[in-house]
Amino acid sequence: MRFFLFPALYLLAALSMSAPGRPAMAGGNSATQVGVRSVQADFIQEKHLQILAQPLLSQGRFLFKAPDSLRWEYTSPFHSILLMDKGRVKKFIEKNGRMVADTGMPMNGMQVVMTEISGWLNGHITGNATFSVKRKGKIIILTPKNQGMRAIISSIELRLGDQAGLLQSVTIVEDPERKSFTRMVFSHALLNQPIDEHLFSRP
Amino acid sequence: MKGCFLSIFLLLLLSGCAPVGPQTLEHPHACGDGPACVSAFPWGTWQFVHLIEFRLPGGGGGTVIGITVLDGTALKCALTTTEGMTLFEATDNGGLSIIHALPPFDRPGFAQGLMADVRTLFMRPPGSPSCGMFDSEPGCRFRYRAGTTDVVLSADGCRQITTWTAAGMVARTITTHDCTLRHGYRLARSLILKAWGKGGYVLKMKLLRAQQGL
Repeated sequence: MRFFLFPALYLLAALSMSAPGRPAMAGGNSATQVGVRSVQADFIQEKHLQILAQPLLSQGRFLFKAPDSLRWEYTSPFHSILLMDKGRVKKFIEKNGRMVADTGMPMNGMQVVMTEISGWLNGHITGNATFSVKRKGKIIILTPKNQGMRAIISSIELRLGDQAGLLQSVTIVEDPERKSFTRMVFSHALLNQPIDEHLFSRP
Repeated sequence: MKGCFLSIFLLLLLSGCAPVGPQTLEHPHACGDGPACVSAFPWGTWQFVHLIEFRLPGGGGGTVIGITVLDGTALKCALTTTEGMTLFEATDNGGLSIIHALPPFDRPGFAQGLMADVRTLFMRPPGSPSCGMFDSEPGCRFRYRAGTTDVVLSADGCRQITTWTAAGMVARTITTHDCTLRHGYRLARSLILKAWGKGGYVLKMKLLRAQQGL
């Protein structure tokens, strides 16, 4: 369960990188330099697996506030929330009408992931020891350098939107044959709008 | 004498841990597809998605998404994190084939155990059942080489399934809740699967989606 949070957190990091002034991808500009103070967006997620006749669909809302506050909320088909508030990570799942903390993942693992993500949020892309970065037009491809991680994630593809600073979609490819992948398509995105602080600390 | 007392003590101790021996099926008669049996297991092609809360003997646990695809005799299943990362994916159509397994889901025996859970939940056992009454509730019993499966149809329209080993020890119990009849199958919105014995565990499953005839 060590990798429980990987997909969502990679996406969070990826989304925050989609700020205006894309040099952050190549030149290592920080999020502050490219002007990202906050991002809000709805998302629809498709999960594709070799065994599935039809993909699994879920949807929710994503919030990010610089430098390190995140809220990743699934509203359908079940309600769960992943929070990061000033580096502290919590996860909640709705049970019997109440949001209950999910402690299935060891907190140590979560801290490790967050350390990685914090670096991305601060724009340390080119200096990242974890991923190599390639760009093909509006698509940015992140490939794990570590063979162990490649067993989990083959690549991450970020498709930039027409509007500067926002992503159209993120695809996490889990196997080289591309039979198993997760695609998130964003909509109703808002850049640098105020977000209530408590949304990052409470479910 | 001491040995005898010890045996009785151990027997009592074990019987406190798990039910021993299938209960009596009253008025048994061959029934083919009796009312309790016919709706207890899905027919045809289905895709189920469950939110699964699991609890392990040592106190650990967590929540995952379970996906089951039934296609005739073929069984396909996967586990993902609640965010969608694939943890385990396998198919079984006369032979188990593991497509993907991350630690700790790659441990020896895990795939076999998972498939056994899924078969108990969704696959009709082999052989022709006998119908009858378990206490005052209608039910049916499948007997086969590896053991016995009892299906009880409760007054609320839900089914309870118990599987027994050939030695008469309970292997799994399934209690279902909030059931509706859909395409001839008593679909449960939630269920609890308990695996008995050493390394036993409990799965609480909440149905997120069921699609028939894909």
